Amino acid sequence: MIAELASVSFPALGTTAALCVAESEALPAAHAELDRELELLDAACSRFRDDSELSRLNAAAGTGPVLVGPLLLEAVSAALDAAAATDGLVDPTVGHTLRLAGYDRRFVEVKLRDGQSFRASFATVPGWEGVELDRPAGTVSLAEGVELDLGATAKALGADRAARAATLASGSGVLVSLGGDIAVAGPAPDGGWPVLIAEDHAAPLDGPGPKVALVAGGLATSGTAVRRWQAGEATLHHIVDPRTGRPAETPWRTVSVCGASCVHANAASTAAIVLGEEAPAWLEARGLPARLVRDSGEVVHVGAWPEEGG
Amino acid sequence: MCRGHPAGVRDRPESDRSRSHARDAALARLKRATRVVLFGATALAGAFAGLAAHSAPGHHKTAARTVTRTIRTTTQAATTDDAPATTSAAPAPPPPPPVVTQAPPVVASGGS
Repeated sequence: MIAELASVSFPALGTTAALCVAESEALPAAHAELDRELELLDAACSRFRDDSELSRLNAAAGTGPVLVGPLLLEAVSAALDAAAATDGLVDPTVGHTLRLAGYDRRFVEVKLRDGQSFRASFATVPGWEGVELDRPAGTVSLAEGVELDLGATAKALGADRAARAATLASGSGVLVSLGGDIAVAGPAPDGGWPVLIAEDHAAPLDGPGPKVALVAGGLATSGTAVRRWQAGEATLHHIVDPRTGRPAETPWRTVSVCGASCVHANAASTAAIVLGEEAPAWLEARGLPARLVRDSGEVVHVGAWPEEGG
Repeated sequence: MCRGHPAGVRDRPESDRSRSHARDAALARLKRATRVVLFGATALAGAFAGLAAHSAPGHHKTAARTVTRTIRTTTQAATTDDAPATTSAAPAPPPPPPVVTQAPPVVASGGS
């Protein structure tokens, strides 16, 4: 079965999209579904496109209910569920402070900016309670001052949706990765989907790191080492602690979590970065297999995460 | 000649009684079932009326928050068949754990 795997990867959503199918002839149909989902996701959820639905919603904060399309509605719903499930550790209302901190354009442009002359500022996070979603009416209301950033959950949602759509369209088992956030759907190949756990999702596949196999659900890795930028003397990263409005101060370089879906895994890995030292106990209490790597390089395994080399 | 009653005629009253009992029992069951259905319908009507009242615009913030959670829960239940919990971060059963593999990886999971 392994010999029949076929894959493709390409830039998308400011990161890398990767698609792998268990039956090579299924690749074109699965690829078409992934392309379609990526296009829909960008048009609905991008914070960096003036014409995206999210930009229009953010601009309408404080004006009452705004009619949105089904994908943005689903993305906001997933973000609110993530906030509820993590007691607000993952909060979609970090958009304003993230923008003030310097993440106000596509990341490739952030990296090109002169970081030495840039000065960051920060704002209080208004809180996800300021977002009201009315699914039957198809509307979202943002309280005044609320600016959504769906980055933490929308990519994961996109991976889940694309994997499901691709397996339905192609009849093959499918793995979709968006920036290292992975969803699998349909029948897995014998032995599962082999995945390298690395600090950077763009790491070479023959590089160092443990290799694990997935058969269902999702796997997400959050980290503070890759999406970083300079603001004067300070180095900032993109995972905001909603309690402070600033990039999370955390002992973890990366946290990888397996979840029932990629959205679940992403919410938990992001929350773990924000939680800091309490993260292993928090993940353990939720029965989530996880691998945490400290700044020192020490590795902590939680729950059913397999021992490396075992 | 005809003093005696034919067997069929003589048995008729018992048969009637038996049928009458059966009918009474069936009517009683029907009555009970009607009561249960009426009770259920009343409870459901109340629940839907409450839901509709909460969904109506003009609620203060706290009520609206409650509605949001209820709506999400309802939607998840309604879409269980074709869209499992994959589109939500609400609590879900633990995932199947990963296992160590020696197969060449097809992708890397890492920061982005």
